[in-house]
Amino acid sequence: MMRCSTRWVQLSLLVFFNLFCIPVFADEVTDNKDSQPPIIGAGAHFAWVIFNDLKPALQQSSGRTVELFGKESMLGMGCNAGIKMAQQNRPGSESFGFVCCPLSEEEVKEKNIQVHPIAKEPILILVNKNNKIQNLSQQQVSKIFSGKITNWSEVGGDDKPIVVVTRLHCKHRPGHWKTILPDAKSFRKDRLNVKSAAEMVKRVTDFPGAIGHTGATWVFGSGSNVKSVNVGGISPTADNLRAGHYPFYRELSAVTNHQASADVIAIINRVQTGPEFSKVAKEYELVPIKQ
Amino acid sequence: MAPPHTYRNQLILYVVLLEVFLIGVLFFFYGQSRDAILDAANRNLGLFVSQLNAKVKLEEHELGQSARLISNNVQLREYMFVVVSIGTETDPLNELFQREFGWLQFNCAAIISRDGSVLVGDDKQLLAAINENQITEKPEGEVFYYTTEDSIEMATFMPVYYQNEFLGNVVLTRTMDTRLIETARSIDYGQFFVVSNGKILRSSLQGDFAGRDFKESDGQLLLGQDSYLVSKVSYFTGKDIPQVWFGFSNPELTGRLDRNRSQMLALVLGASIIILIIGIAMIRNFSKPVGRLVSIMHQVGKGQFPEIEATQSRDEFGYLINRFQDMVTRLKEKQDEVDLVHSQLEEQATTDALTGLYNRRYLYDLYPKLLSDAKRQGKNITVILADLDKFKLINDKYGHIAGDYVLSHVSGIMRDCCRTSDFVFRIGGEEFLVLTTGGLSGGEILAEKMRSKIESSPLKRGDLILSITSSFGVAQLEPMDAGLGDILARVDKALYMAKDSGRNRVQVLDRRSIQTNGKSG
Repeated sequence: MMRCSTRWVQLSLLVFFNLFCIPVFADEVTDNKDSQPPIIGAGAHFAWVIFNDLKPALQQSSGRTVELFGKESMLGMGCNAGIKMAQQNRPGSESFGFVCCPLSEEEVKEKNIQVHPIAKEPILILVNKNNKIQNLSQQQVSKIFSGKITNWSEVGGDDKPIVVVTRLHCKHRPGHWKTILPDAKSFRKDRLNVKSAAEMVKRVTDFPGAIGHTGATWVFGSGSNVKSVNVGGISPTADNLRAGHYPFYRELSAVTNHQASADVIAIINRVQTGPEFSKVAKEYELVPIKQ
Repeated sequence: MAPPHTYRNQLILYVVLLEVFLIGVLFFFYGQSRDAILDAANRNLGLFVSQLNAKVKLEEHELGQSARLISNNVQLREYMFVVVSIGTETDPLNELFQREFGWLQFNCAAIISRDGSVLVGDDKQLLAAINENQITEKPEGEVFYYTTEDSIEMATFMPVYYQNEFLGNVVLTRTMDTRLIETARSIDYGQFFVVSNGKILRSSLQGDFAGRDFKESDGQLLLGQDSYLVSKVSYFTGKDIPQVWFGFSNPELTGRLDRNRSQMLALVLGASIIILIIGIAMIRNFSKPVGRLVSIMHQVGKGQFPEIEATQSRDEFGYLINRFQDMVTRLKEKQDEVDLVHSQLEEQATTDALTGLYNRRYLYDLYPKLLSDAKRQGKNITVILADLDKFKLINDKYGHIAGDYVLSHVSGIMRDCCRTSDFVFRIGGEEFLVLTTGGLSGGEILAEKMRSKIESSPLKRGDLILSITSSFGVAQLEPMDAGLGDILARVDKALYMAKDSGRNRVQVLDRRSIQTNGKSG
């Protein structure tokens, strides 16, 4: 009975991948006529952006079809999904994940996975475009997010109450928003806590007095009305991040289990070290970790 | 006895009774239907108002659901939190509300913060009603009504919470009475009245009835020339909330009754005509042949045998008539046979077969009638008795057949001599009797005439030539005669005297004298 149900799950997943991926989620139709099944990658959106931009090069270099989920799919919904995808990797059904938060050693050990760091990504401090504030010190940012500063006038802006918008995901993972404040309790209680980067951008767009945060790989659409501010006079660029001047960042990584195939590793390596990643990194102000 | 005509009369009576019954039933049902229509109108009114109340209640529920939908919206709660707790401007909240909830069915909307300030909404009348109703103190979802210049508004509210913190209320409204009025106008079913302080504020009637008195009494409303059955819609309650009434106009009902009555009259007329036609057809088709049959039987009963024309009709009556025709024909034939036999028998009973003269038996039957006729006419009866002389010798010499010829010959002569009012009998073998009313002298003359004729008319039969003589006695009825026997005795005596006197002569005899008259033979 257990064997039957496992096989049923596997069959369902296979059917689902093949039906769901090709017409809706496949960005490109691969001309790869390789009979091997595609390599699936899924996980956090911000890391997906990188892999997605590099997908043609990855397929060409690996000779394999790569299918990625991370933008709007049910499979790619954050770091946890990436870890799960990595754990599901096995011969004949190769997969890996991508995460946008650093993973603790305990978690890596516990989940029996391998982390393949890709790049550091600046965390942007967002304000409404109509906000005349262009720069905040790190301390001001901390105070604003902690609720010690509640009006823009206190930091040189208009007399408007500050609306703090946060997305405190992956609370048990180090880094990312924890570079702003160390834990969730430190953040201002009367704030808006959203569940996605899209909501974050929407809130900051809607409220002129809002302040929020998101990764630099987020693609701001035409409907957004936000801008990022400098922190301590430092703009959120790769150079400033590399130099350690910009304080808020996170790590984008790929994750696999210990049975990742050579092709999977090659793909990840290509991202980490390939020449194509430089362009992407530059576009999104990322700091490649392995290059 | 005249033949009966009761069947036709009965048929006519039945048709008339049927007509009366039909008309009575229809009028009865017209009355019943009128009452039924009015009762039904009252019931329908009550039912409609109940349904209306239920519909209003449903709308309250739907409005509450819409308000709940808004108050439970995550984004709205967040935005409201930002506005209420943090204190930013309300524009984002307004834009969000319009964008996300503009499709819901409500008339006005407002979002009120917990401190009573208006976050969304600018309808002054709604805001005033909110203030008045102090909705922050009411339980969740309670409905209240308020009035604007031209409508009654149903309003409901729903509290908004964010992370267990009360932020304020969402208030939605729907216009009630004007929608009902427009609906009533569009479907032309009943009328709505919005009434305040006994005056009509607005109604679904065509025309301007605003300001007119609304005087309702026991469910009846009189408005100018028209009357209505009305009932109050009980759901619109509240201080200073106008009453809403619903009603059917009596013209609508009476219009239906008029149509009902016209239909009924048409039905009565049509049914009456049909019944009359059927009745006439029945009377014709039944009564006529039955009457004919009755007439035939009546005539047959009277001993008549009418000529019955055969009919080509193939129904039962045609069969009966044709069978009647056969029956009457056969009856007639039988009757003719019977008559013939009867006449023959009668003839046999009254006439002498040989001579054809009346016989003795008939003499006794006829005499009383002749006597009574003679007395009525003031006449007297004279009896002439004749006897052939030496007839036995003729029989003996020439045979009985010759004797029969003699008798026939003589009877013929005697009949010819007599008048039609005289009666000639053969009462014996060669004895003849004549009853006449000509008096004694007349009888004598007649007797002499007959004697003379007999004598001068010998029987000629082939080679046989026979001379015949006869003797006659004549007597008339005397007052003291008890009956025919007395006069017969006297006339017999006269005959005997004639025979004694030499035969071939006439002897008259009365009670006073005996006369001898005639020549020797």
